[in-house]
Amino acid sequence: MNELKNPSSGIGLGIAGLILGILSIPFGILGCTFMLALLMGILGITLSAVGLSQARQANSSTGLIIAALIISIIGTSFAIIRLTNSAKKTKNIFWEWDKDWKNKLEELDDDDDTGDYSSTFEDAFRKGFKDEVEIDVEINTGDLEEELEQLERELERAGDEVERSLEKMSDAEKVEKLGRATGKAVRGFIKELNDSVEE
Amino acid sequence: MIFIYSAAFSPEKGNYPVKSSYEKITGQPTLSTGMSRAFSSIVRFNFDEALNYNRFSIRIFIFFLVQFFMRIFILLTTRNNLFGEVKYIVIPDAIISAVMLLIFFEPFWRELFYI
Repeated sequence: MNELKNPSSGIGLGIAGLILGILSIPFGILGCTFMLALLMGILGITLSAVGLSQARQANSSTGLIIAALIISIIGTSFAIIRLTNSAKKTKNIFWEWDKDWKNKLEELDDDDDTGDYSSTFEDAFRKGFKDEVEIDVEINTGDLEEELEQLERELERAGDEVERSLEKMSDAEKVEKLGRATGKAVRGFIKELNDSVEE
Repeated sequence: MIFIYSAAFSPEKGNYPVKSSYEKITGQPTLSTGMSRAFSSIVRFNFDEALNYNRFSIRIFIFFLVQFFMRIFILLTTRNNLFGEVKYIVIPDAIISAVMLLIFFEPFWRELFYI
């Protein structure tokens, strides 16, 4: 006949597991503290499992320890459900953003007032690409520092002019200007690249 | 432990060591957002401020408060054997606590299981 070697063997770990398990349940239900609940739940399961093994080896009572194990498992389950819900929510948020941008682009295409921007841009780009690249800046002095300062002033003036003219333009005109400027810039870049390769 | 935590940190400073895991992951608030600040306000007897931080704070606080007194009562009764066998105290305690958990945390159950 099996005798009780130590009636309280594993009980200490069982009680610790029970407390952690009980705490993990409300923390797992609340949204903000589920990671804490997960940690408590896993610790509770571990302590209860070790306590149960000790109690079985010592043939002592296991009721409390089994209750602690079950409660810890329940608390951990709630925390895992919260974790999966938050992962799903994050995925849905990114999907909503993606859908939002796609809807906005489709709205731009469908909008009759502003027209089809993609073909306007393409036409303007082709025209700008064919245009010769010209820079209207006159520098008369031989001093490098003065030359740089004059260039800076010219660029600032050009920038202000561009800003003023952009304010008066409609969206279609802006896209056309942008397309032409981009075409010119790409043409200028290719020309410079060819010149440097030839050298 | 929860009462000590709430009293130790203030809602104005917001220097709580336990941050919202859900908000960190999703960037979105949840039903329990602001609960720590609300609890800190409740222990300082600012109930209006607590409701502003989280509208469920007072019901959850009541749950923990009742549970605190129940633990003390259970401890005293089991030590002094006031109701005979321990099971005559533990089983009703477990049932009452489980029912309280279901009732007081009802909005959070809905959020957890998308009910």
